[in-house]
Amino acid sequence: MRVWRRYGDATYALFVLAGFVLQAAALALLTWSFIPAASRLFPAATPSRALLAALLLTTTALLGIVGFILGYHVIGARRQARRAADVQAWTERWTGVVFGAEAPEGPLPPMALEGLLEVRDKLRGGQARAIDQLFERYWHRDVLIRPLRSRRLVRRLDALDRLARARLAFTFFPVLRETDEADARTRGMALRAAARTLALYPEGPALDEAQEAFAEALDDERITTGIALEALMLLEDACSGVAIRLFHDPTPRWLRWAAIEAAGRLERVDLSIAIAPLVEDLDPEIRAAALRALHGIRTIPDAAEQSVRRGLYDDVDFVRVQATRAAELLPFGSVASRMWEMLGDGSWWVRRTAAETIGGHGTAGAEMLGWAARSHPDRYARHMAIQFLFDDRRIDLGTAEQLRQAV
Amino acid sequence: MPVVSTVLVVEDDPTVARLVQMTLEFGDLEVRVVGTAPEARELLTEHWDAIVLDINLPGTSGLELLRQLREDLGSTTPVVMLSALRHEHEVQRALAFEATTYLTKPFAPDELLEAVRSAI
Repeated sequence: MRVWRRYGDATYALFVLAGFVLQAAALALLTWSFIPAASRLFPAATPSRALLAALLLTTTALLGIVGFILGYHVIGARRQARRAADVQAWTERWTGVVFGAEAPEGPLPPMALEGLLEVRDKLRGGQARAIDQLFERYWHRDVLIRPLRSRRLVRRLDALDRLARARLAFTFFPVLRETDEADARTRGMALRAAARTLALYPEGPALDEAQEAFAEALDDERITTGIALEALMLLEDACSGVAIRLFHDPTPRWLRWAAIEAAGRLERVDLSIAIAPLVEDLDPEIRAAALRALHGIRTIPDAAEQSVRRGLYDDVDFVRVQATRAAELLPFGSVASRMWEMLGDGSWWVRRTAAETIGGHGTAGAEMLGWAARSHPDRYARHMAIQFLFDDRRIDLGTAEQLRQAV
Repeated sequence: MPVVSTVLVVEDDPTVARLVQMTLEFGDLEVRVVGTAPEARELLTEHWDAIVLDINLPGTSGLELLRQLREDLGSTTPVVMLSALRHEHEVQRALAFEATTYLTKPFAPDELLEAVRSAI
């Protein structure tokens, strides 16, 4: 019921109720007309008249509900367009103020706040601080915080959305408290808003406290891995301070995985040394995530080189896949012989990744794959080398066919 | 009469585009803003003292536009890249195509103006 409507719940409920009442009346009338005793009591209610009346009532009910839905969309779209234009006008005006134009006289309409937050969302540095001062000048802090206590979900979600754009440091802890909400949508929005705020949190001792609190808020079994990962990604450059707190026990496995994954996706080079020991974690999912992260960061610290090499011999095939990818960053000569063996691995994915890794090493890699296509002792390795060379357009179809027949 | 430097801004978010425009105009630069890659492609052949290029454009990415600018048009115009996320591989690709600077959004107007001025 909340798919297409943001507002007008009570009106919609009234229309639907009226529709049901009309339908019930129509059915009652129709039933009545078919009862012989009743028709004697009330001779005017013949079946044909009752049928006509039922039809009219049904049409009225349907027209009422359809009219409401269409009207809602037409009026809603117009209101939305007017609102967007107002916000745009205020955005333009605030942009001017940031660059020295005269600030407007207060009190200001609600759209002025929306426009200010829109500008705040795009800036950092001195001008962002100027926006913060403008906010303090025209509005009380509670304007942003109060709607979080509303009983209406839509108002709470709107408030969180606004705070996610505002990224004002003083809103961080009130927003973070919302991650305790029973409603999953509110929890998710609150985490995102808190993450965006923390991403631009001012340096200083309070930052450490905020990062600690955020890491604790993530450690909640009601939060899905996907939401935790998204929240960590939203931290952007501030991800390191939170992720490093989550790499080790007693952090639950799913959250450790999300932290490592976020570090890799955000290419946090500063976390590569902290990720290195996780390559030898007892949990294969964590080992694979750590290897994938190092590959994403494009850096293997010296301390992790041996671990990555050991990963090439891991019992679990998806760990071997990630180790093979990460091995791309090691000197080719030091892993070439193992790559050659892995072309004949029992797992198709490992064979394919080994071929890709070898193929990524320029002429030396291409020569090795050409040699493997002709003379690797393992039949599946020869097949994989031929397939990769063909996919990578290093050999044509005719050559691939000849090699396959030789295999 | 002093010669005014001209800057082409390629940015699809209207608020960011306006902020970038005002930042550069505030620094006495002449600015032309476009929001899509096809519009930008038409203007790339003209003379610009610098280009501010968003990476995440609808359709064609800013990196692809930069590649076309360098490889197809052989232009050496300084380019300041703007991106929502700082991915090292994107930075490396941008630098490989000789982007002058790589800034992330939300951006600091002072930094942007300084970057464009230094590039010119």
